[in-house]
Amino acid sequence: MLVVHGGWYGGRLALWGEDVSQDRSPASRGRAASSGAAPGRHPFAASAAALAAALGAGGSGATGEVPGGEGIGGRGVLGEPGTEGSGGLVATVAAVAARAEAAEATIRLPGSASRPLPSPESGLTGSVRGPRISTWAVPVLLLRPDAALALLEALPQPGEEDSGTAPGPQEAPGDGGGTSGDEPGASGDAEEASWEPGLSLRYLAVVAEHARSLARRGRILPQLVEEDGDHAARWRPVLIGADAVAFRDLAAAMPPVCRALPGERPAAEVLEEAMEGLVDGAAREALPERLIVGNRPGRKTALADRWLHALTAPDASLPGARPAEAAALGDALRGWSAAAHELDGPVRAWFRLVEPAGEDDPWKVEFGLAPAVTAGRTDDAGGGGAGGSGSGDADEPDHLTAARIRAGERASWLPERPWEVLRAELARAVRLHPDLHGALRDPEPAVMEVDTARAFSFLRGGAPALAAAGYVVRLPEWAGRQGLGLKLTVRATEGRERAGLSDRVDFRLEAAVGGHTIGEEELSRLAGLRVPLARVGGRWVELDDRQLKAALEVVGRRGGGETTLGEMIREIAAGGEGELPLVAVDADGPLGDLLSGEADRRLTPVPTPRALRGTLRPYQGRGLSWLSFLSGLGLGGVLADDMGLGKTVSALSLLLSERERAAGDAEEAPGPTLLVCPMSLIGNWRKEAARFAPSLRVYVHHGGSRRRDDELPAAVRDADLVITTYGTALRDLGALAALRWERVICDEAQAIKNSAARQSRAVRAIPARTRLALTGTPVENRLSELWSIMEFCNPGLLGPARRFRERYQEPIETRRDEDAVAALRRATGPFVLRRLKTDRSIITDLPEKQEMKVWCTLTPEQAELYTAVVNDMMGRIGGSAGIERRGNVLAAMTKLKQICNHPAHLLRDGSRLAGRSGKLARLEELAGEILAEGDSALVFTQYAEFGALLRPYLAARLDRPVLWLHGGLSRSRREELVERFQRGDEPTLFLLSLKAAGTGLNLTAASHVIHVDRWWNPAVEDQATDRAFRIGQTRNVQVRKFICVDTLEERIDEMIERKRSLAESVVGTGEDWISELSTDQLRELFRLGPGAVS
Amino acid sequence: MASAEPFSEFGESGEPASAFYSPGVPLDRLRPQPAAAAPSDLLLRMLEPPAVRVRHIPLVDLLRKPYRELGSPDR
Repeated sequence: MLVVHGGWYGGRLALWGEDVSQDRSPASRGRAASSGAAPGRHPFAASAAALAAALGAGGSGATGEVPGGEGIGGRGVLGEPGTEGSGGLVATVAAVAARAEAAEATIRLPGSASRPLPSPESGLTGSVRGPRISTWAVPVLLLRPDAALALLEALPQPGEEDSGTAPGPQEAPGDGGGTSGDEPGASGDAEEASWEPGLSLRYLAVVAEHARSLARRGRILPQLVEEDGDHAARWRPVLIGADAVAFRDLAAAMPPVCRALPGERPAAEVLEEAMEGLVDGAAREALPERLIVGNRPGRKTALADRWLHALTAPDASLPGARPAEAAALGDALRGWSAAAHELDGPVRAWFRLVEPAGEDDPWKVEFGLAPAVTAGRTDDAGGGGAGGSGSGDADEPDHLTAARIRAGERASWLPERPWEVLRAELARAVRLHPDLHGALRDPEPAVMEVDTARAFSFLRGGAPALAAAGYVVRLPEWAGRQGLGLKLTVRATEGRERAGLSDRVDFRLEAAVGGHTIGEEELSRLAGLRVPLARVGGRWVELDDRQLKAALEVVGRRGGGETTLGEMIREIAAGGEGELPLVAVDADGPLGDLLSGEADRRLTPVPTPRALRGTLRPYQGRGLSWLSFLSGLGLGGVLADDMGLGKTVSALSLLLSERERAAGDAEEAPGPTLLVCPMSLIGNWRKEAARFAPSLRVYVHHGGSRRRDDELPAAVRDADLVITTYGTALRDLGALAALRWERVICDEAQAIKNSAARQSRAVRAIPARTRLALTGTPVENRLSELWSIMEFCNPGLLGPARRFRERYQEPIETRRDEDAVAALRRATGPFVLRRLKTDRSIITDLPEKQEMKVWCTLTPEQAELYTAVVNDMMGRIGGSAGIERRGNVLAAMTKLKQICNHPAHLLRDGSRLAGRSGKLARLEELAGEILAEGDSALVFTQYAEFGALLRPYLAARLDRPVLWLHGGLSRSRREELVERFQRGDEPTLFLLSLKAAGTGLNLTAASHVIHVDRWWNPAVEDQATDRAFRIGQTRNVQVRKFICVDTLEERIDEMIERKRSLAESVVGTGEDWISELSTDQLRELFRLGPGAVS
Repeated sequence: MASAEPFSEFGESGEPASAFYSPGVPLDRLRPQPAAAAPSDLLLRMLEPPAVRVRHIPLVDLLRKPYRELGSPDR
């Protein structure tokens, strides 16, 4: 496996890789360059051919080993793309990598003289006391900006997987991508994970996102530049306003390794070079056609003509340009660019549109000045006076109106000659909104009176353009809000015991502005207005001619009547008709219950199933009612409760409840439910089903021994719950889709947030009567994720993705449009139940300290090691006595616990961490979820060496701070870490050694505690837990204890649970009591059961 | 490690090797923020056009339409 890093050099993206398999320290050692000497070879850098092969470009043509020198060495073109992989990321990367050139470069890295320190993504271990920076030679692949853009855009986001095509580490271990080969008998579509992008490459992907955004927004200008002694036509970014701030932030955050190639360079220089190259590539991609038609210019054609042609041509160079001509063109274009950057002054004009005070009063546009830091946004007029902090000083006004400037008010940011600045700003603003021209007649312009038509013109045309240009624009609070829409009123015709989608309902559809309905007569009057800005229902509204016509047509065509409940639900989810959004719904009966936002409270309660071994908390009981109600209607839903609130037990209760309702009636008996989850959760589902719902017949469809062909339908027929993974669902799609399912459940449904990913398409393709998604984070980054999950639950209900994007996603993500937020909530509300652990009603239902067991499975590699150690150690234990036997027992326990943690923990070989441990996969998922919820967590391990392995790995994978407190730290360093954690600046993971941090510390910033391995001494674990659960803690604390199923971890846990009182006295001394067990008891204790591996 | 810091100072404040390979802040914070809708030819409209003509046509006139299309979803 390779970890691929990125840098920018010589106008190209430079890729280099660490080959994890090459590093077997201490053998893998090189020798860095001493002063003046040629640099030594990076001991575990991938060859160019290996890099190209991993990326899918074949590599037969790679020159690979080119002698190093300063900077980039010799080059060679790679071969054609390899044949492995097709479609998605693999195909994109392969196509891109085939266009790369192989070379060798020097790089500056920290480490010792014999070995650079490995990156955290590599999972390799290595530490050096006082690392020094040395120069190493590394093979690189060089990509031109267009190819670089394609590669960087194709990289998956952290945590995102495109099963079967994405690089392996995005997969759960052994799931889908087959990173650990968990299914030896699986058909051959499990691909070997060959590379993963390092953080430096992911960083450059973010730079590429900015480059595309600049091109898309037209924040670019064409220039004539000099390249390699010739002239060339290039697109260059214009970084002003927020883009300039973003550039500074990007430079400040650049990973040092990005600027280490081919030697140490300033971050801003590297970023500028990368941004320029990527912007040029993005602009050419966006402008594939010639900018002027006619004959293609020849060498003798005027330079401007050739230059314009070269701006969209594959070859940007302009050889043989006459110097005088080049100087004239270059000067004109540079002046243009300089003028653009002059727009980014420290003080900008400020505009406010003020609505008429009385009926006969005019509209006004007020002028003023504001410091640039607050520029570039429209805002409501609220307050309008001094306030905020433009300059960082709380006493400073964030703007001054011209009237206040005239009255003598001043601010530190106000220029010496404010009127000159304001007039210059207005003169530029006139170019964007010519109506402002009149204001320039006044030497001290303060306000301009306008009629309704000009006010509307300012509202619709001027304000957005001025705001986008960096001016501060304030508009009345109603501006930009939803105008005309539809109001739907629904009344149940007949009360019924159980509602169904085919129930008849009466409905009425009316035009409305907010909650104010508009009759047909008023609609006609509004349609006849000359200026589409009017007072309706006491507030100003921007009217749209198309909307008015559409409203007249819709109300006339279908003002009311009778239809079905199902049709109304579809209507509400669709969110309106054509141009007209649904702005209000008034419903009674079951639909009213669903839309109330308190559906779980208003629905008829469903009794807790008798077969449930446990008690449902009140909110879980309400959740069961909601699940039963939706299921009864044949609708899908998203149970999106916060983690730890019991989504698993709620889903199991639903299965039990519907079976009890059928009670012996074969006709009513529900079919099996297919549950799809990440591989790391299979053990947990199996254990939770056995614990809470032992009457359910469970079949786990996963692994090499899973049922195939004719055996599968029989196994499913005999099951109530079939558990499988996303990867297996994808592989066995044909067989699973051919069966009849009562329900498909997707657990950790963020796995299907990308609607185009193969596993999302696969689960959607499995037919079922109803569907359920379980997730604690229905939206992680983009609203499109919610659409994807909803599309699984209720196919087609929210309409096509494009419509969702236009109606909800863009207004909310770009303008934070509150009306669109309300409309989306209305459209999805009936199908999403989300309770937060901070909800007052939930807090009262929860214990202050909630303890849970997290069941993990082993990967095949862990199982193999486990078995080998048991066989070896049982032989030793059997042949020893006394202190020696005792030592052997404790050694066996330690080794087995280390294996349960991770093979690399036992082997201490510095090998990679990703994809080799079920426990680590679960920890990664849980930690990601905790941090995404904005919480912090303590993670205890009793092994300092395991913590040292976890820290860099988790920091890289989670892209969040991970602190590590262990016995090797000085007291002041420990205090510093504790203080940083308690400050709570951002969600943080705090790894702690149980021995070093189990007592004394106050860590109440955490609301989650994870014991990743067990000490099996309840008192010791409780003491550690109490670092978070103590005075000062204001939230409920969730405590999770990780246990590997069917291993010694589960058996010892059972013993403690069975004889807790005895255990507390017996095991109070730690783990020594285990050494007193007989050899037969030990064999049983250590035995690896059949459920250990999934 | 701060981006402006010389490499020679790496390790002096006890930062781990991972700091050399990692961005200074989580990448999510660096991603472009959704921008308010604005015409993509805004820059051309804001600036005094350069004195550049191609085949007697002002450069800005040739660029206006392609710039407007930059912002279209089809691009």
